[in-house]
Amino acid sequence: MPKPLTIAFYSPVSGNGSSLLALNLFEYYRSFCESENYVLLDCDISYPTLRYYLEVGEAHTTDVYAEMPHILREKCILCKVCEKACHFGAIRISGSINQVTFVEKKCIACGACLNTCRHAAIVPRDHKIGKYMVSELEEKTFLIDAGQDVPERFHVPVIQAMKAKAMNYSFVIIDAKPGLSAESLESIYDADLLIMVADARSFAGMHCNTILPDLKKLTAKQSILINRCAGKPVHVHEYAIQHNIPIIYEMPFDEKFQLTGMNGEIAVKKQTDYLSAFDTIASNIEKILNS
Amino acid sequence: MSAIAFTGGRGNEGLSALLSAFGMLAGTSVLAECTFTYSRLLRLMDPQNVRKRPVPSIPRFNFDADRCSHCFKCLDICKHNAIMRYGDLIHYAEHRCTACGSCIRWCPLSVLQFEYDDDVLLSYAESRYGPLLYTDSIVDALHQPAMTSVILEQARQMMNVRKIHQLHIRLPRGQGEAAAIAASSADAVVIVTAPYPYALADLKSLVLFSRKCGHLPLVLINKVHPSNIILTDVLNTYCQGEGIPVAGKIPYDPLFPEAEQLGLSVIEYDSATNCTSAVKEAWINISQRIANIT
Repeated sequence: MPKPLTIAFYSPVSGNGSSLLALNLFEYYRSFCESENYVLLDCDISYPTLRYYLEVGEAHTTDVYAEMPHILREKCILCKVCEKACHFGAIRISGSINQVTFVEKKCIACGACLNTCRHAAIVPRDHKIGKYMVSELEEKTFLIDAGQDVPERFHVPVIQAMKAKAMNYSFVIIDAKPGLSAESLESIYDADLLIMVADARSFAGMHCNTILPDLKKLTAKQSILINRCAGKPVHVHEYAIQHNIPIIYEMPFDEKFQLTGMNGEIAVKKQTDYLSAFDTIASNIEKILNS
Repeated sequence: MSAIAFTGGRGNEGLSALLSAFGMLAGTSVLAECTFTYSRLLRLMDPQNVRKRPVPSIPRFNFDADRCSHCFKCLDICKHNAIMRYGDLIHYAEHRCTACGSCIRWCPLSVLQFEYDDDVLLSYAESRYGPLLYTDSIVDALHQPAMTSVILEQARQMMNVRKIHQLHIRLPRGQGEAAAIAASSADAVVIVTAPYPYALADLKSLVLFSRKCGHLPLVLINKVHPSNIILTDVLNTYCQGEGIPVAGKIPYDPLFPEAEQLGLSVIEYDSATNCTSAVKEAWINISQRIANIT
């Protein structure tokens, strides 16, 4: 199966409006561009946003598993090697009661303990670490998001599983988690095009300078979309020219667009005013992908 | 001494703008910024005299590409998909690595090594509101609980040394372990919400979260506008039903982004408008509540 076209919307800080733009672009592609099927991937596990804007149909849930240690007490000689190997304090050996205890809540399923035991007293056992849902929105259109109850330490493997699932579709838009931590990097990893949403405020130039170089290794192509533009965001332009990164579009600050979003509506669907903006965005995306 | 924890939700509730205004109204206070993403609030606070100190972190990997013989054994060994093959090259996706050490044990040439990095830095700074504590290093979810504890411990020490009586904690995003550590250590939790379609679901889960941390929260509804009056009412009714006090309703106003553009809090930018008087009133309500608790 060929790899799908993957576009990731990313923002270094939350509140730049990248989810709303991702939703609108998705709606635009779904209505006007030919593809076998379309999938929207919400990688912000702590706060899934997209489902609140969409009519979500029946969901198909898939559990995600990882290997955690299972300790065979009869084989354990209390040598404490595994306790030392665990960076997260999930294995404790108490000398006074001659007992080894495993604290599942602290385990990140890294496998360090499994490697170190020389007495075959630790064996791997599958534990459920989270789940993700594939929901049908309309014909050939799907949303993939995860359960909010996935512990933060398992976000990276759960996002990996969601992305592996998305590879079965032909057109993918990812709404990444904001920030620069491992979960955010995992959400954009290996995308065909990164759209960094910069807002036009005074420090957006700094974001471009410090963040985009880090992200260049992770995605095939990068671009910037300036949101809520008032005046000319000089810093962002300077950066874009210097590093040869295209600016896809400058979205003006538009109270109506913001308030439509606040009311849970997708502007492109409700009002034709915004179609020309997304026409331009889509054609610029095509240019970048073909270059 | 009192500590107030502030939390938003997804991040577009306008918490940074409000916190900068509260900082202005509170007089001198210590701010512990525990969000681990680039912070809008810090830009507004304009940190001065920044000093940085390394915080011990867990080991990371060092991969010596020059000595690698490309046997690709590590590819099968790593079960976190952190090592990949592109043609004849090894690609190491650092963000997936958990430092379990499997690859190190198996690497025949020992080109994979542990190293302890000290690039996680805690920053101490001064601002026009008072001392600031934060980190601008990248802290992954795995290490956020420990980092949060360090920031809070340092903030409390700073309060003692400098004789400052108020601590404002900006909670980490989400409701994970790090946020729970910070919320439990505070005297009160203030939830800032805004009438977005997901607001009620978020508010409910944040109320549950702060109850688990031992607090009946105080709620602030931001970005109220005639077009979202129905959603605002839904939020308000929910709070009344649960017996949760609403500290204020702040109107949606382009004044907030305008002030932010200039790096000012809304109070400094224009102190005589509807929205600033709503912010002031909200702050009075929050302070009264804190005074009752402590």
